[in-house]
Amino acid sequence: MKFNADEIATVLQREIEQYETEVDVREVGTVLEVGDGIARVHGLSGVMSGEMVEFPSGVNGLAFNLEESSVGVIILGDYLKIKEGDEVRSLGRLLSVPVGEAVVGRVLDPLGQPLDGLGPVETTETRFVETAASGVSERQPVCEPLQTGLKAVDAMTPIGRGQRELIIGDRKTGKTTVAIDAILNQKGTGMKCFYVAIGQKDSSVAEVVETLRQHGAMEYTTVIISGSSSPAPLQYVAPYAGTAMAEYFMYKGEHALIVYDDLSKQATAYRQLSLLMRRPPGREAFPGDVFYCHSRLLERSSKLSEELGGGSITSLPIIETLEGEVSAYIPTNVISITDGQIYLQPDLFFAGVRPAMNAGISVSRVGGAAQIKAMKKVSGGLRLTLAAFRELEAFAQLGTDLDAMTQQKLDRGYRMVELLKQKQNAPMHVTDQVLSIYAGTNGFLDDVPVDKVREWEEAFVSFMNTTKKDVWEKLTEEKALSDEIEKEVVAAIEQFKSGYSV
Amino acid sequence: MDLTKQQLGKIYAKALMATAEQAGVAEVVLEELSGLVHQVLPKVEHLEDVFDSPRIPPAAKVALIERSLKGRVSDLLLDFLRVTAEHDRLGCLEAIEAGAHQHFNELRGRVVVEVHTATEIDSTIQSKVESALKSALETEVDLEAMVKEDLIGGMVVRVGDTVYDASVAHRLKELKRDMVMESGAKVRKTIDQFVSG
Repeated sequence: MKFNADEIATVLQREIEQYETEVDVREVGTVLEVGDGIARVHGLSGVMSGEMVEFPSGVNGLAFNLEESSVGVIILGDYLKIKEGDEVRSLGRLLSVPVGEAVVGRVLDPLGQPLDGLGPVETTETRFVETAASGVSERQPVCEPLQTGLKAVDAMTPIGRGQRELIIGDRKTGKTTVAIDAILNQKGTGMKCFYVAIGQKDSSVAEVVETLRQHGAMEYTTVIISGSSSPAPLQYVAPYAGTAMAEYFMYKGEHALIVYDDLSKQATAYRQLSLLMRRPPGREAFPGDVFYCHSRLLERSSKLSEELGGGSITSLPIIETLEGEVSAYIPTNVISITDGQIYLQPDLFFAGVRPAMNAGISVSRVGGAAQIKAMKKVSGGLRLTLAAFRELEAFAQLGTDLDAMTQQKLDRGYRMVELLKQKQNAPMHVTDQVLSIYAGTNGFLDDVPVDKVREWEEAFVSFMNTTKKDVWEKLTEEKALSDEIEKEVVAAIEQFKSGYSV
Repeated sequence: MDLTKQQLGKIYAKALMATAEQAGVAEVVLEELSGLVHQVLPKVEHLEDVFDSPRIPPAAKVALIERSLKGRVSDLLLDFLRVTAEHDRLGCLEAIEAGAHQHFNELRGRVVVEVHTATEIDSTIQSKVESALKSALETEVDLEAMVKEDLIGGMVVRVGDTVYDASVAHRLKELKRDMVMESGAKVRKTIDQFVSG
């Protein structure tokens, strides 16, 4: 292949000949001081809050603090190139990011610049990073389920499209894995996924991107990264940028899933900015408006009314707790904003219960409205049964003799816990989930040894997907466990058990 | 730039100019103040430090002002300096002077306009620019011409915080940006046209 230099030169020549400019009018100020991601600017007397400004090095900033004699600017980029005395110009527009189909499958920074080396994001459409959430009349109640592919979540804390479900837990309890599994399970549903990594190690983000790629999930996923080495302003802006990209699809009537991993780091970045800007610190040194910072973000996840196309954004914010302390400032804030939480516990995690969800204190405020009928029928009471089991289990450890009834409850509990365990990156179809939970709750597993339960389940699910495909398909289509189907399912389980020995 | 001093200077300047305007001696006071700040202050070594120092009591500063300036400046300015010294704000004198100029211009409806060019402009062009600016801004104009070689050509006019940029340097920068952005995209789109074989 030969590069045709003359041709390129002609095109450029034509560009120069046709080039016309008008007098550039701009409002300017002077940099007084620069430090850790912020600058104090003198002048810019007409600048508005949140307006973009430009430094001579080409780096952009946002007017953050408007004071009597100066303007505090947060710098979205390399602040080391900015010097005292530099001219700052206001751009008269708000921060926006590229949106549209072109961002799908890309790895971007919070300003929409590509990080994956696949060339520029070719789109003409942009959306403001900060927009007001849709109002009451523009919404409808959450009713459509969003399947995460995790038995424990879909059965006990079902998530609906348009819901905000918090994933909370200590470090290394599998929070990201739950969110990634939810993204993997969206394959083929037309759902657009967004993974916003805030303040994460670049190595862990690279691992996540690789996982998504290996499972073919990058085809419908956008990854927005501001790692722990990026300046605080970018970490602060990242979730809003991701939401703006997701909103494009919501307002088009499509569905989007967005994961904020994690919001505690965003709050820390915001705290850093606020303290550097000399805003007064409050509890845990966070500024007074850190609640608003999260509430206005999560409020943008919604289910739009049918008149507006019925699109939705479902969000899975992640919060990392320290030593299980859920009553710290940021966790309580986000718990109160979201529509429920999945609480992951380290002791469960190390006991091999993965996902390490604590069924007792995990809730979903949308509940049954976001479940298919069949799942509602088989999982009703599962949460309470498990919570009761945990209590009994603690009691049984005392070594007292138990009556047959209690022993039977305990045995069933052990098997249910075993049944709700799931491999990483292996989301299950909702019908498979219904079938295995049905088998568990109805005692078909009581004669299977506890350590063989997962093996049994795997074999049973593949049996239902092959030999009894007709029953499987019927259930998938009807989404409800009618008496007729239930009979067929029972028959199928019995047939399977007769041919399966443990 | 000390923002606190500037802010204080503005307040003191406003008070001074309002009083002087009432007494009808605004021009005289302003001229004397400018002379004091630009001619006297740099000549006397350490005078600024004396004014700024918290170790010297305000009373001593008042006495110094009275001894050295009484009868040499107008009474109004002397009173003002005395008040400033009593409040221990003599350190802001420079800021006060700048603020007074600004306030005076505002009172007279005059605007300071900086005109930057790459080469020195002659008086005919300067007066042309001045009259054009007068009609555009609809006020009296105080034109300050400056030479900035890195503009290459054209002219940059600054009124307050607003900059009107018609310099060659800026146009070249814009052209470069557009070429990189748009032409780059065009070339990428029709890549076949540019490669052969």
